Amino acid sequence: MTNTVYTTSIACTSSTAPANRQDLLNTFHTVGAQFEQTRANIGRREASIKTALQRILATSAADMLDKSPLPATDPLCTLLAESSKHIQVIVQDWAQRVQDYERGTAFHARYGDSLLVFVYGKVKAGKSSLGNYVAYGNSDPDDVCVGCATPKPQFFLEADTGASEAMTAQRMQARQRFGIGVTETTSSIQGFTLPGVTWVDSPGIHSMTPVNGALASKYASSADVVVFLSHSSSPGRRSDLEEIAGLLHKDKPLVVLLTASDFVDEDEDDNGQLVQALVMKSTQDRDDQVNYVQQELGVLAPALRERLLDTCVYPISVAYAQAGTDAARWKDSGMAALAARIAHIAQDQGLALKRATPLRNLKSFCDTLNTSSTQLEAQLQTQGQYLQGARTEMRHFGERSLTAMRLELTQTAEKLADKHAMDDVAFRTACQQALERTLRDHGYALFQHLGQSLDKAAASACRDVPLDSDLPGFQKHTMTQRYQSKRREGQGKAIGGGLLSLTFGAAGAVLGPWGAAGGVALGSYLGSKLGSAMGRRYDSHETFEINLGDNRQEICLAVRQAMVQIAEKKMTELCGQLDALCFGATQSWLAQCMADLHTLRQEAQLQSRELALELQTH
Amino acid sequence: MMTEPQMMQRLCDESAEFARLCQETKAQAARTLSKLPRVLACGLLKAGKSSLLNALTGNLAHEFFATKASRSTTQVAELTVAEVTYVDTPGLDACAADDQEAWRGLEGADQLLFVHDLRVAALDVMEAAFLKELQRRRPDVQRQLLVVLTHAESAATDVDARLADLGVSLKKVLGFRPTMVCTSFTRHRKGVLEHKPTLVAKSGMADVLAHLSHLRHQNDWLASRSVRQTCRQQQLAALVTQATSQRQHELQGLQQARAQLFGYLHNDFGNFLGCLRERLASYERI
Repeated sequence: MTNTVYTTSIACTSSTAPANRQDLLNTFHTVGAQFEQTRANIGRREASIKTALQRILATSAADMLDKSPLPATDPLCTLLAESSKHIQVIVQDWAQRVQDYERGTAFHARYGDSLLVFVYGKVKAGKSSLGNYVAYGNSDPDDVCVGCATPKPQFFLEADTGASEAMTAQRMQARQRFGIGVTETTSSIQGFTLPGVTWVDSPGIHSMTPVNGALASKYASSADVVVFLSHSSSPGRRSDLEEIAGLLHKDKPLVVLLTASDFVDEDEDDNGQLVQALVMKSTQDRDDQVNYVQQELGVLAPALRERLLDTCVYPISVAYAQAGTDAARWKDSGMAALAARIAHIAQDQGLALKRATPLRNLKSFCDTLNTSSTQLEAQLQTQGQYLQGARTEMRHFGERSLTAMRLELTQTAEKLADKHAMDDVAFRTACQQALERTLRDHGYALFQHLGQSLDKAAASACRDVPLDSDLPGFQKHTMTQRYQSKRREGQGKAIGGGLLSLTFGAAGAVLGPWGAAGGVALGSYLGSKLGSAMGRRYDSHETFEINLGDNRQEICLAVRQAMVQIAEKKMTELCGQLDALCFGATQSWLAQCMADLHTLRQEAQLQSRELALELQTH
Repeated sequence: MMTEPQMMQRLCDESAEFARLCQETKAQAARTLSKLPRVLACGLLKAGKSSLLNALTGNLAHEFFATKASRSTTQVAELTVAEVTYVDTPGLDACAADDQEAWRGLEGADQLLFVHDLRVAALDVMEAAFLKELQRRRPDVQRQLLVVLTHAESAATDVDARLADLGVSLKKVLGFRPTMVCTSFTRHRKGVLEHKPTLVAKSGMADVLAHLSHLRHQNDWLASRSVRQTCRQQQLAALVTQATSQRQHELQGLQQARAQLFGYLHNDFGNFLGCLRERLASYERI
């Protein structure tokens, strides 16, 4: 099963492949114009994404609390400062990625006329030995071997951490080979060029010198082909598999090698001396290791199954291969399968790869930006929540102040009304002063709550609070009462009745006794009516006023309402001023960051989509 | 009110360290009846742990601890030979489950064989992290640790340089340079099965057994076991105290917030009452 993977790959060569190196170089020259076109296209896209990126980098680099007058000990400042650290980590990571991208692009462009093979893997996995073997047919060549080499590889040094062997370009020029040692040796991005190929060796990852591994990973993206080495003494370690999965995401040809797939077969001779022979691991063991790595990769990165199908895993032994030159050893060492695979990639996909690598790298860069922008967005949202929390707290403080002011003003208005009853001028002046004092006290407390001092403008606003001139003035409450001081109706009635009864009685007496009685009765009735009417004319009335109090309750209510209205208005203004003073700059910073982030994400998504379409045509 | 098991579960959920110490304490308590020393092999995936233990326990013609070219040990396995219990653990850096199982196996070990493949001379970052964590969990690791370097047959020519480099790295990580023994399982197996004394002599297996025996005689491993258990209990107590003070701190914060809100309410209500009383008094005056 596994043998199938690396034996069928041997036959993967194209009939249309360049016949020789010159043929390959001629082909490169022919498509040079296409490279230039691709380069221009990439440049346009890069400029577009970089503009958006630089904008957010510049915005986020500004200190969000720089313009805030809040003291550093304010809880909001503490929270924002803590959150800002996370933002700075993300932003610095982006800035680093930009640098890495530009460095990788420049590196790739320098070797634009050859297939760039990048060798990557754990420390002591055999990367430099493999490079030396490809260059000279020997994993640790001596000067003679180096001098006799044909074609002669040209070694170069790209970058060095100085953590292990402290390589320089001059030393590399003089040495013309990779350093080999039992301890961690390589600390540089180094390589050699042979016609049509640039072979890049890198420091080991996961070593005790992390700076070396970090340098290696920065250059992995610039390659056309990545060769990942994993020592066969521990194949399929999770840390290796995770690196491989990461490389698969870069969407470029990947070859995985299980190095040192050999063992020392020992015996003792007749003299009791040890005799050793280096032999390849059994086919079963090699198959077992290859299967294990492929299977675990499938488990680790199920989404990348299709990419895994294109990824070959080869067990190889450089030491075994260099011990002889016969074809059987070449094949058994696994080097034949590896060479066939690299040649296949170079001949059949080389040109397309050269054009696609910058596109892939930019797409990968855009995808990374897009993914990590969610982290930044989350941090910005967190900051927005902190800010909102602080503003809500300030608003609550303002509301509590207002509640207290309502009570104070109510009590004050009543006291002052009692004190200055019926004296409108004194009452209004006192109310005005009380309102100003209350506003000033609560305004001061509000500002102090956020560690601020009430500035002149705000203090002046608290003083300039005229009460409405249409407010009612003091008035007494009275009632007018009218009463009849003299009553004449009864007297008139008696007198009129008496006189007319006598008159009519005397007249009736002419008619006899019944006439006299009737005359008296009639006279009495008419006399009383007439006397009553006459007496009413002489009745007299008087009026008087009753003092019922005054209108101070109405005035209190009206003045209190007016004062509370002013207080509400002024406190709202003060809250607004304070909000703008303390949170305005931070809010603007956040809004600008969010807007820039949105633009960047849109740009990254657009470029990624278009690059994906473009890559499909390659 | 939380029950004791609920409280324990909550503490375990909150602190992985607490959960680990709990598990170790329970496991150690269950193992107190065993008076045999436990020699445990640990190290990276495919470092040669199982082969080493097969050699030390004499399982050469037929292996007891399973081996193969890729990952094979996924569970802790043990075998007692000559009143010593040998414990095999899954290789580190294969998967999280294997790492966890290996640490579980490490809980009751009295002697530790840290196995490193001599073909890869340099100590890598995963091994360094493992050793640091081991030292954190077992401050007395120096008295229990023996570094066994396997596949010596593949590094015959430059073994001294490799040992020197490893010694430096180990000292950097652990703060001391542990005893290192070079071994070769293939030499030992072939030597024993085919009666070849040179191979057996150069396999280094006898050295490993001798060092283990020396360490056992030099250090009272049973007492160390007891000290470790006491140490775990103290760490658990410290974690409980830490969790308690953290809760008290949180509670204090909540109480302060509540007191502040009550203060506002009390103040507002007081003002309201005052206002009401004054109003009533003014009515009464009328």
